[in-house]
Amino acid sequence: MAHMLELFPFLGEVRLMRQWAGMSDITPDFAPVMGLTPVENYYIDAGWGTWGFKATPVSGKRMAECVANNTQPSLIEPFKLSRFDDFSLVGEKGAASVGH
Amino acid sequence: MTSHPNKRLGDGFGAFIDVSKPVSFTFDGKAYSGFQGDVISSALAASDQWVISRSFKYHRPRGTFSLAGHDANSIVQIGDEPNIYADLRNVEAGMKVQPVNCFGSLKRDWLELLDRVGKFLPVGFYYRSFFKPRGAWRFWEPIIRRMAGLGTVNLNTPHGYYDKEYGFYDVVVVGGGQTGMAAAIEAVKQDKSVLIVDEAPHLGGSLNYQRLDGDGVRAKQMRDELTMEISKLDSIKVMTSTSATGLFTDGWVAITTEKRLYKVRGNSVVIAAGAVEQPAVFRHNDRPGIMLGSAAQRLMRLYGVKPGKRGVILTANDDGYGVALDCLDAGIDVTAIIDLRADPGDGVMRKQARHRKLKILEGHAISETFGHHHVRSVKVALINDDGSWTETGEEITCDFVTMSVGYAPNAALVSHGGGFFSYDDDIAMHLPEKLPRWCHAAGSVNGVFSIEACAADGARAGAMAAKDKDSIAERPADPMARFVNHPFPILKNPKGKDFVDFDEDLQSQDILNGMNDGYRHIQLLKRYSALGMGPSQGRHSNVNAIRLVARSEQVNEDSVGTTTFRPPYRSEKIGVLAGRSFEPVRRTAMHHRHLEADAKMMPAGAWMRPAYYQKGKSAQKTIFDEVRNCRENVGLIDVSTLGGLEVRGPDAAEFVNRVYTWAYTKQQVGRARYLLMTDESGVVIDDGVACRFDENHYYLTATTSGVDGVYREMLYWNARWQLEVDITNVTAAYAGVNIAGPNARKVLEKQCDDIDLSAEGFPYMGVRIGHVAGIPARLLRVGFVGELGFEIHVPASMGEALWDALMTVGEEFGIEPFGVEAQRVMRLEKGHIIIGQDTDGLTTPHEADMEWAVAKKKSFYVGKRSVDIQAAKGVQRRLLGFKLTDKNAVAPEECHLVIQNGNMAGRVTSVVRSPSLNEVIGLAYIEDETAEPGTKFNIRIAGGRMVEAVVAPIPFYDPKNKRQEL
Amino acid sequence: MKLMPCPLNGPRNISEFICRGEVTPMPDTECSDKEWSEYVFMENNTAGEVCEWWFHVPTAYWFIVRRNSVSEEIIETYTVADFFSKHVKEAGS
Repeated sequence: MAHMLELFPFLGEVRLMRQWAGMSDITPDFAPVMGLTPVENYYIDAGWGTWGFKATPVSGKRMAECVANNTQPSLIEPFKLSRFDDFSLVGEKGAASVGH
Repeated sequence: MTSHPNKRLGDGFGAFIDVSKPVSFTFDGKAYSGFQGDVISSALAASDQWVISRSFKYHRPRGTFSLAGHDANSIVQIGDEPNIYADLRNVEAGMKVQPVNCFGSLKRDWLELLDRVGKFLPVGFYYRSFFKPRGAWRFWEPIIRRMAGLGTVNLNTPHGYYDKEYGFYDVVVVGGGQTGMAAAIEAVKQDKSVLIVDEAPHLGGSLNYQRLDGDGVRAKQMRDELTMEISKLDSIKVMTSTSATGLFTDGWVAITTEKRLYKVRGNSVVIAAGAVEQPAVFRHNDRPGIMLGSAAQRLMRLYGVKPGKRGVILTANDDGYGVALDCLDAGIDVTAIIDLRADPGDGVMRKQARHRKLKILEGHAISETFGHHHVRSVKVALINDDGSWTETGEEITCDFVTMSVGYAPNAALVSHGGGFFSYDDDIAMHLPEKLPRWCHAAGSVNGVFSIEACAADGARAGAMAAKDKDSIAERPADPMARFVNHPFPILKNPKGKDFVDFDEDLQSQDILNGMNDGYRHIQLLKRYSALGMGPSQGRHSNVNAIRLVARSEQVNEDSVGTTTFRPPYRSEKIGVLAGRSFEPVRRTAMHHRHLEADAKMMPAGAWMRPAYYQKGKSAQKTIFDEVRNCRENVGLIDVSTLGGLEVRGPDAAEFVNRVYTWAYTKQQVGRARYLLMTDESGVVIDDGVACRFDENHYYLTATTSGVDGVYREMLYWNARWQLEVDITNVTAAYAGVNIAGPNARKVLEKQCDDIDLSAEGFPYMGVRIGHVAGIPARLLRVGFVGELGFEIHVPASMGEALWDALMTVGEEFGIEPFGVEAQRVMRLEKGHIIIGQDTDGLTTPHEADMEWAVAKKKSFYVGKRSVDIQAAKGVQRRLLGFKLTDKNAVAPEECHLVIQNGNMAGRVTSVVRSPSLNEVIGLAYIEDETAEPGTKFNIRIAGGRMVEAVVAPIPFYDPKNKRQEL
Repeated sequence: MKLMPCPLNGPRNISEFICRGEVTPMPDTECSDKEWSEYVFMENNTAGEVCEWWFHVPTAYWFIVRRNSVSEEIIETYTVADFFSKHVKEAGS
């Protein structure tokens, strides 16, 4: 917070009314887990790490397709849970988002 | 209204003020006067200024309501300070107080028209409006922004001084009222150190203003006794005018004043924070002049201010009668006491009120009030047997109304600490339960009200806290508790404006509409309607809303549940949370030499390093000149920040061999070898150089920002392997330089005579121990920049001397210091990667073109299995060198994308227009595992333009590495 | 702020520590690729008692914590030597 005030000193006088914190879940490759699981009738769409909001329209549609047909739709194929089994981790192609 | 502005009550009233010290201030541009000890709202009330603000949504006039800073009505602005509670801030001479949320003036706010069109602004209306037709938001946003906010922020406000302090106590008692003081006194009997925290300027809590008996003497008597006893006990520290704003795990309490945050650790915590008086709900229950009974008592007892001349007392407990008696003692006319209870029983103060022949209407309520800027009359209703109500036709003229219908626990800290609440139907109040074992609740926060029960509860909690016993949800029997809280003090009015939440202007129908819209769960209802989300955080609205929900759903209040209180209990300035700014910085031994040479310093982790040495030219020209001088003459760079680790012992080689990817057990003494480190998932995480100075002694280097993590991981692995090896992080113990360039040897020879520095005596990738300028030194012939070079490590205290020695003898050879930027250019000309820039969190050695640094025949290293699995699959992308096909094209920048067939196929990780080669060179990930030198690809640069690049072999500069091997 | 009872330093603020994760033995070199990937990427995520590696940063000290992942209660902390003398020693290479 002290660093924030170095950038915006005037915020020092502004009052904080309420705060809370929670754990943000992150997968090993910072990409979500979507689709089928080893458990029958149990599907997963998780691990977005608070970055999933923008993708909800398309991920909603593909997950609906997944649940309706019990298949892994091709668009979300790279995000399957089993990708970790053979180290097919999904990195961001365009950015070094997975920092050290 | 009053012809004697500021004449205060004397004699048993006005305990907090000093009438010998008047204080002048302004409010809304007008001059007012109060006394030292007054808060802003009491001084204004004394001068008959009751309207303090305009409500959030309907811009209704609002005024002093709780006098405890629990309501948003009392929010004002003082100069550049927004969001001050007029109930909590003392008046100071010359203070300029401004009202907030009024457009036009406080008296004539033209947004009051919203109050008349309330029908069109139902709960949650803003979810369904302002965005149609397309583009509508662009019209509405600036309007709404101007209307929003309870105050203004001056962007030029300087940062004030705030700091922090720590405290450690056996028992922390939150609340210095009757119960808190009893708890503290009891804890001291067990020889414990105790801290009492109270928000008011003096101990006593409600004993300072409440009436407990017919004669009105008991409260003060008890207060004096207890505070006297406390003052005699040395092991009790008292902090008044201080708020405990947050309770965290293991007794960590956040305690704040306006300027300081105390981080206090209590072995046990007693919460004796009291209870918050609750409003009744009826039509127009929010007019200025309508206040809580305790607010009227605070005005009189603490500040000597009359709440008015003719009052109507609404009550459902004996406290309301106490308010009436206080008014009589202050010479105020009590026109009527309206008791919601048909059968009010016989409290001691009710007895006295009846004895004094006051007009009392049992089983009645207020149905509506009148008056615009101030209440002027109320209408009376009879409560029928079935719970409905009928107006009687009686209208009572008055200039103030008080409400005493019950309390809710002031239990924010219980929530913070992880406790819960369950509603007790018997006493119509939430009670804390499931507190963490070290946290005890006592007093009215725990549903206990009578004097005797509070004393017992305080002593119980104090004793348990002192003895470190697990807390249990229990309380002494208190027969009086059932007669304190009315279970449903709500007269829902079909004409509306019966406010449940003053902050958000929520009427009782709004609550029901929210539920009808589908948000039936209290947590959803809160977020949908904004109930309890205003500055008062539900202190006056949560309970009545829960009662409405329960009745509507036909369930009991307990099953409705509650929302969660979060820290801070009192809003805190961000400055208080920030405190002072400490920016620890690590400096190398040569720091001052860099400053003297006019270096532009840059942070590298916590270290400061010279980026380049300023010469009055542009940065790029300066950097390229440094490169040129190094490659043509000799340059000197401070590399002290690089990680250094000593690994010593019989298993040293075995240890290094297991931790890094290459083969080290057969590494010769006197040789250096490249180090590459992977984690267990096979991802490259650090690199450096391993120097074997002895059979059992390795000196390893690591990256500046990676060494602490490398050290930690090494200790972890050896905790598992238990090899015979000692690992020490000596990064700060050594200072280091790299002297590089064709003249490097000539310079070094002048300062080093115990090492054979010739090409045969000290070949490339050799390591030696000797002396430079008489300083014991480790020498490494490594080549990050691609020139003849020696890295010299000396004890940190002698770094500056080493620098001076080399700079002095190097002068005749044209030695110049060079910084991190020049070094980065030169390493890129050699195609050397920088971990974390050219690698990311998923880069494996094969992707980074580093298979050569992975031992083929080792049976184990950390991450080996993962590296092998991924290598067997074949890489998806590779890090390759590139140049531009058109040497004059605009250079791309780092992270510009490689585009293939319209898709992202990689990115640039490093790029520079090389001064040595006069063309753009760089490294990029390319999604083509077959890519060989000559393969072309496109990079998309700024503006969406495409630039064509071609894969080029590495190193770009001195491809045969002759210069570094001189 | 939670207190962590460090075997070396006594109770310290939890902000001074780093948690590395569960104590799990490295699988045998003969294990399948899937078993290996589970060791690398998957946690047991037990709801209940877990044993974890913890590091006190200021003193560079590794130790083991047994805690309840649901109640957050820290049941016991061990030096590495004590913990492994009670459990099977595992191979490193």
